[in-house]
Amino acid sequence: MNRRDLVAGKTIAGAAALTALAATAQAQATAKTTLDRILADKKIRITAEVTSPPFGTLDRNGQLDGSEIATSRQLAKDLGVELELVQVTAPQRIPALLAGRADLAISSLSITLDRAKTVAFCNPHGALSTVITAPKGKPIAAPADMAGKRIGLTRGTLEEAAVPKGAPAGVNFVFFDDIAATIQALLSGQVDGAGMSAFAASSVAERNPGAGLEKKFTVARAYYAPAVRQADHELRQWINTLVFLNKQNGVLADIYEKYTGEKLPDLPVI
Amino acid sequence: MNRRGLFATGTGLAGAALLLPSPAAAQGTAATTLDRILKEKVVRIACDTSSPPFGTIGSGGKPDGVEVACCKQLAKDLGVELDLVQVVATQRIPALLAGRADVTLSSISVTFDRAKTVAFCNPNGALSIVVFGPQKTAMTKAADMADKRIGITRATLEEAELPKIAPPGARIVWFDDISATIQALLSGQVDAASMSEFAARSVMERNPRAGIEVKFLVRRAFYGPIVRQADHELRQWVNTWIFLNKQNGVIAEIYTKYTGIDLPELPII
Repeated sequence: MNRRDLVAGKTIAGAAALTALAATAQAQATAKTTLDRILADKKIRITAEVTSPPFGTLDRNGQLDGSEIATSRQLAKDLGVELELVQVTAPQRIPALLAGRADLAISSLSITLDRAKTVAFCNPHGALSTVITAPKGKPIAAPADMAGKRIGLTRGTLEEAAVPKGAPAGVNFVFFDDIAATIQALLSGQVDGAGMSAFAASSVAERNPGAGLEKKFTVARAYYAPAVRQADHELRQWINTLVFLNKQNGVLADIYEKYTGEKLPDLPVI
Repeated sequence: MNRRGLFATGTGLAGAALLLPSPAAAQGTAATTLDRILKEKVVRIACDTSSPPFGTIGSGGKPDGVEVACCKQLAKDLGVELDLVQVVATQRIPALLAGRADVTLSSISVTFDRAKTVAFCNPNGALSIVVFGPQKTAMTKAADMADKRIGITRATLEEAELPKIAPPGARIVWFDDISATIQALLSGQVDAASMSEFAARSVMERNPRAGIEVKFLVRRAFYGPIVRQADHELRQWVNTWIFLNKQNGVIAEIYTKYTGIDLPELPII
């Protein structure tokens, strides 16, 4: 670095440091962080979206369940506070957080750049893969093998967007209005293979052992993560530490496998 | 399975968010730099355009290069206009600190000294520093620099790294910009020069008759975007941007397109 610039930088840094010191002292005297408040109240409020199996569901007794609910319960336990699940619809997950109705959103929020404009993502604690599933006899090992094949997709889903993107020319995509119709077409042989989430593919294969279905390849993988308000650095740091430790001790993997039937893939960090 | 919620695009959410007080207002704090960028719909990114292949002036007189392409991608993904603040290498950090830019994305290697005044985002690329020179300069390792004149450019990683491995008797000659270093090498004013492997490759390609070759590797370093230290929210968004563009391969594509080599695995801070 140019000497003059370095000196100038230090002067600016020095002045900034004095200002920052004053600001920190003031902040510590007047404002508690969200993490402080959670610990003082002994309660954390976390969003719960219960129409997205296997992430969030209502069980037969009307109790909240699913992998994200289990993660929220684990988090509150590890934090040593009471859990208040704030039930929200999918479009309300972020607004509920921003409006202060929840301290944290844990509702299978996939990480997107648009969402990152208004909230801060913690490190991912789960992943959702889109796969191509087909009977064992079908030679479809890679995207190129889909050429000349009939591949079923459900409208309005991630797979409808992701599968054609990486597909070769000559794939005969067949679109269905709901996943039940896609599954029916796969089982009846109307299509050679189908794109769906890895969870759905496992579930279909388990329920129809005679069909000899197997996952052929992964098309796309999206990671989801807890989200906090952008200013809540301390809470985000605590949650990242929780994600770190519960990756290390296998708790996140256990929850994921219990609800999804899938192995938790390696989780990258932001 | 209903996965509409998981994969709802940001559009619906952003629409809903607009109806609410901004996060900053809700929390009773001042608007952040990220808030301001989104409100004004323009992000000012400082980039040095005299450092191929990171920043160059292309054939049409327009800025180009790995980092310029990353600046464009970042603004596009942020959904705002790009105001590319062209700076010389020595002004990359001062321009940010003085508020002339919101981000500097200009192959800034992560160093302790820089981290005292700015906050590094996670690395978006890597560079190797080499010593290179004409075939007549006999040099295969650091010790061979004794009694040789080695040109380096100020405010670069090589300025920080090369003296550490230079033997007694090596004569390091400093230049204010890389074109002066290159000129000194081509004219024989120095016996060898140190710069990034990419810059060295570019010099060799453009001057095939100079008989220049890479002598040895000094070190590999990672570089990342920088923001002002208080801009936590912006840093977090940029880190999310890097995370997703590592996953989807866009950063690797840009890197390979301009450098001709594969992007190594990028660690995070």
